[in-house]
Amino acid sequence: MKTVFYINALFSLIFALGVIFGKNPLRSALSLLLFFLTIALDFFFAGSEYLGFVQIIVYAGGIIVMIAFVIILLGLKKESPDYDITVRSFTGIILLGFFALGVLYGLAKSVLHLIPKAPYFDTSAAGIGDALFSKYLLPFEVASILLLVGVVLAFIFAKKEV
Amino acid sequence: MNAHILLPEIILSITAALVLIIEFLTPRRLQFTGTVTILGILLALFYDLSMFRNAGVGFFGMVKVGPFDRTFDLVFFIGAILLILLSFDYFVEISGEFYFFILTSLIAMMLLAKSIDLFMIFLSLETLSFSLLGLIGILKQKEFVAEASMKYYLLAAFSSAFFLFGIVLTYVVFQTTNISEISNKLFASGLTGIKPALIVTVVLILVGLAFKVAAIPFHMWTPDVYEGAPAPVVAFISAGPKAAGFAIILKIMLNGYQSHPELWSSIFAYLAVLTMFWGNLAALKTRNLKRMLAYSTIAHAGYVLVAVVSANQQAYAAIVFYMLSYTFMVFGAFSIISMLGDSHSNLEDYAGLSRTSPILAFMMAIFMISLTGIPTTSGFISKFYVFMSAAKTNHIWLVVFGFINGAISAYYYLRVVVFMYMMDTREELAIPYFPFLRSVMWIAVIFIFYLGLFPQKVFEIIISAL
Amino acid sequence: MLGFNDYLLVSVILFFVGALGVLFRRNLIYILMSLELMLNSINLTLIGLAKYSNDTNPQVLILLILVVAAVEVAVGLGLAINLMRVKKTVDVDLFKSLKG
Repeated sequence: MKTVFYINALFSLIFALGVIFGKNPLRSALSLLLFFLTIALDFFFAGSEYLGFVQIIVYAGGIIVMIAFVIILLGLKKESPDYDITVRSFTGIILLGFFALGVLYGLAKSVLHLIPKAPYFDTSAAGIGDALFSKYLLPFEVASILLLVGVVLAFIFAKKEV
Repeated sequence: MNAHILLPEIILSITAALVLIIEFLTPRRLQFTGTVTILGILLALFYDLSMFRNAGVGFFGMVKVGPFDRTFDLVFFIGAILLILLSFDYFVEISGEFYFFILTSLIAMMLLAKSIDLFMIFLSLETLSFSLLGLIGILKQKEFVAEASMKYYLLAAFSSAFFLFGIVLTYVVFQTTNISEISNKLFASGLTGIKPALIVTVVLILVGLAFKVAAIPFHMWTPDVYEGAPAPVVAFISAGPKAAGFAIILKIMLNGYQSHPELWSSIFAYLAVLTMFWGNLAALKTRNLKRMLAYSTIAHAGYVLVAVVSANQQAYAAIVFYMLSYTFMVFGAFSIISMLGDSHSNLEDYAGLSRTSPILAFMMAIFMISLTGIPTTSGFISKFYVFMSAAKTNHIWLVVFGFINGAISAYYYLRVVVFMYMMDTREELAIPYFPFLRSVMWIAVIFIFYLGLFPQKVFEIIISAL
Repeated sequence: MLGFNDYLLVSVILFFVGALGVLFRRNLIYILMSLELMLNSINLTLIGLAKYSNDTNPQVLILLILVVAAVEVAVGLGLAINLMRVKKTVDVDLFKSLKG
């Protein structure tokens, strides 16, 4: 199981690097799609089929299509190096690296006890729905406001006149 | 479930939906849409005040409402109403969604001050960021507005990703995202074995929060966004959302991690000093008034962080009082900047203002004096309360740094006064009569002197709400 | 034996790969995709947490984070279209343009 997980993780990493180092925007979007699929595989491994399918449907079916559509709409072509390493960005990257190491070190140094909260792992859509409409009712409502704001905002920015 | 404790938020949500429908039916009638918005806000304010003493936990432990949170609401309401008044005169023609975004940002700020669940805080923070993005980018066809909104969006999304990661790791460490449960667990079992992970989570969460209150190292967005965004919106951003940011800092650090101040206290002390110095020193060299006020916002965030470090009852009240008086100061200053127009916000444009329009110059001088913190104005009293609380908890060095910074800031605030009274006009600037901008200016002046001369009563109300 | 720490390790690494992309790419579209990487790798920690503490709640959080990610992309793409119309480019270069 562990080997399968890490092979999948390796693919996730390769596709992630493919996204951020890619030169062709459409190819990067494709790489992002494959990254989403590896994360969906992780969800399946963990036993949560519902989330896995939601991941595939929403990310692969929705978000990637949206990104690809905008890339085509804007006519973004393969660009000669669009990233350059200046002194400032270089220090930023070094600092980020140290930050990452610090996070890993801090997590490795502590003992994280995960105490099972239930006798078995409930991955059914019914169980998730129960939690969503009881304990997480208010976050659900706020998420709806957030979605409304996002829709109006995207509309405002994308339309031609003021 | 106790839904009625969020009645003001529910009223505001209904108003927001109503505003969208009105905008659809009768597009671009600013004053009508704005009046509906103000009525909705006043109704919500009425219920908020009538339930002032009602305390309770609701929505399955997601929100906890007490009188202290409602004092924060007051700051948000004042900011929103003043922004709507300013918008009547400032904008010639914009889409009515502007008022929708004001309402949603108001809802988000109120929920931020009340949530006691970390994930709830994250969602409200996202809603707030995107609503503010709508306000900043409302004049999107201008080049610098497009750029300012893009920068704001990128840094908001980036820092909120770090904030979310911090929350998830906190979830891993405590197996709960509820702040009071976290506090209980810390009291019960202490830090053994989880201290390094906790420091990681606190740092990650602070990255997100520092962005919201414009503290170092996430201050970079402030000057650019302030220069690009419309002046009334800038006034709103530097008052309300910042108060909301401080409300969450109080919630997470002081309620959640109160049993272990060593985790965050020194971080905040260094942040406060760095933020004060950086804001004030950067403000010295800029000659654009909007940009200068952006740097001064950063410096003021530093002063408030001093109160966060002190962390006693008086400091909490001092934070609310500071944000209340800062709201009036910043709205007053920006009402005058709006009158002269965004394109005339350089210091040179203010030269000789005392001769062309003496009242405006006098008012601007009052706002600058109040921002400096000279007695009889509310700026002095609010600084006084903050430094008193720091002195009482033996953070004398923070007080000393605060005074040094007050002296530095006097230079660039009073330079504006010098320009208005001692320099000669280069070109006559005809300023039309704006009724709404003027009324906001007068409201601001009245409250600056009211809070400056009779602060005791307001302060006692805030203290009693704790 | 696969444990929670494996999920955490992979998640942290992927998160910072995404952060790297945000910091040094200049094209807005790439930055948006990197933000998606960051949010998705956070989900990985949550699913590990759900699996090893038999808890339903992290799965709900994943669903809500999905909403946030969708909103972020939609708004970001709207911004990109507007930026293209106004400035004829989607290059942002965070380090250069922030005069701070």
